[in-house]
Amino acid sequence: MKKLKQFLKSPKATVLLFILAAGLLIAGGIGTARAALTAFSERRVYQVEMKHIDIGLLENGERVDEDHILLKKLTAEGEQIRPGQEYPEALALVNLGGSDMYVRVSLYLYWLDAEGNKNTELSPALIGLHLTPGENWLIDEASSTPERTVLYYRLSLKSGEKTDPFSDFLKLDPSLADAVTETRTEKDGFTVIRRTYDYDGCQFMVEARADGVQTHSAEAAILSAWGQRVSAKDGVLSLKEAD
Amino acid sequence: MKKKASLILCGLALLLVLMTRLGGASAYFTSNAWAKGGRTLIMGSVNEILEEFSAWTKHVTVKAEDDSEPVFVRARVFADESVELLILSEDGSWTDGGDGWWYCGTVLSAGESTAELLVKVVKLPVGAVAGTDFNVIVVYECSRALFKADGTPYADWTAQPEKGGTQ
Repeated sequence: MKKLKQFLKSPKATVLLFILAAGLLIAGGIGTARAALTAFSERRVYQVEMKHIDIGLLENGERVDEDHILLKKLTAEGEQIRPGQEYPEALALVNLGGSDMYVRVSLYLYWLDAEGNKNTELSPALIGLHLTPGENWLIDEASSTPERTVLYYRLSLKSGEKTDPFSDFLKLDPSLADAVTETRTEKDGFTVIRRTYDYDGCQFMVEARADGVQTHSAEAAILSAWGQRVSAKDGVLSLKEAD
Repeated sequence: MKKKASLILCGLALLLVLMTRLGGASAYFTSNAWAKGGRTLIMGSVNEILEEFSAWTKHVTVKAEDDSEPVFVRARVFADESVELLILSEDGSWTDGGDGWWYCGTVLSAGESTAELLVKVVKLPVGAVAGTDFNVIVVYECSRALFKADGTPYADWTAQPEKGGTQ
């Protein structure tokens, strides 16, 4: 036993063990190669499918998430928008991926002044995007503000499936003409009373941000991705109140 | 030496814990899309009154300037009772509203003008001689065109309109 221990501690033993290890590795490689050759006749094909998740935004049936521009065709080219008139504006989401998903959308309505800066003193309520939540869209009142509305779709969307539209038309409230500043001027025998509209030259904006999340472990996924507590029973989503 | 080894092991352990958490956070498949758009609202009505006087007749037209929103126009004529006037619209686009105002029936878009409203002086003031002054005043009002849901324009004259006048 002592002799064996002495031999194992010697440099000779180290070299011998190294050669043995190398030999085993090479032998293993050859074995695999042989196994591949012998197993060649038994061909098996395995397909690995990587499912992906992808959401799209539709405006009057056309995708708008590629160029990210809404309201392009709201009026005929060169035509001004007329307060009080209804313009078709049906917004919906579509599942463009290969997996089922739950979806939500955050809508933002706001005004920009003539210089392109956001003007929070002008009322988003006058940008009348008429919502049609129906049975399948849930409005998250807790997360909504005068400027933002958050809607969740109750049902999971299969690949290629669309949601019901969550809006149907846009109508600027004619009462925005009531916000006026009046000036009187006398010139060359004329008396002109001029009313300047506070909303004149301002730009109203509609912004939609859509999110999709996997249906597997939906409750945990939605809480993690969107921070919203939900119940997803039998493929139907419902909102839970925050703790 | 032992201290150093402990520190390295601690660092490794922390890294492993962090990596586990990162794995958990990115375990869910998500996707998003966005779009936004807007339109500029033109609401100011900028108009001018154009007038010619010839053969005892005022030829009145109102023009909406190029940056004006669509408007409706009405006009009213004032003169001394002793002056007899005849107000006419040859193409019928102006109609007598029966309330003292003449209404142009067509909505005036940017750059457009109304047809002429003719104000004829039929009878001069009693005792008028050459050099006698008398006034025929034309006042016009513009009201921004309002639109029904189907796009049909209408005027709301109860709202305070933009005013102007000539004499």
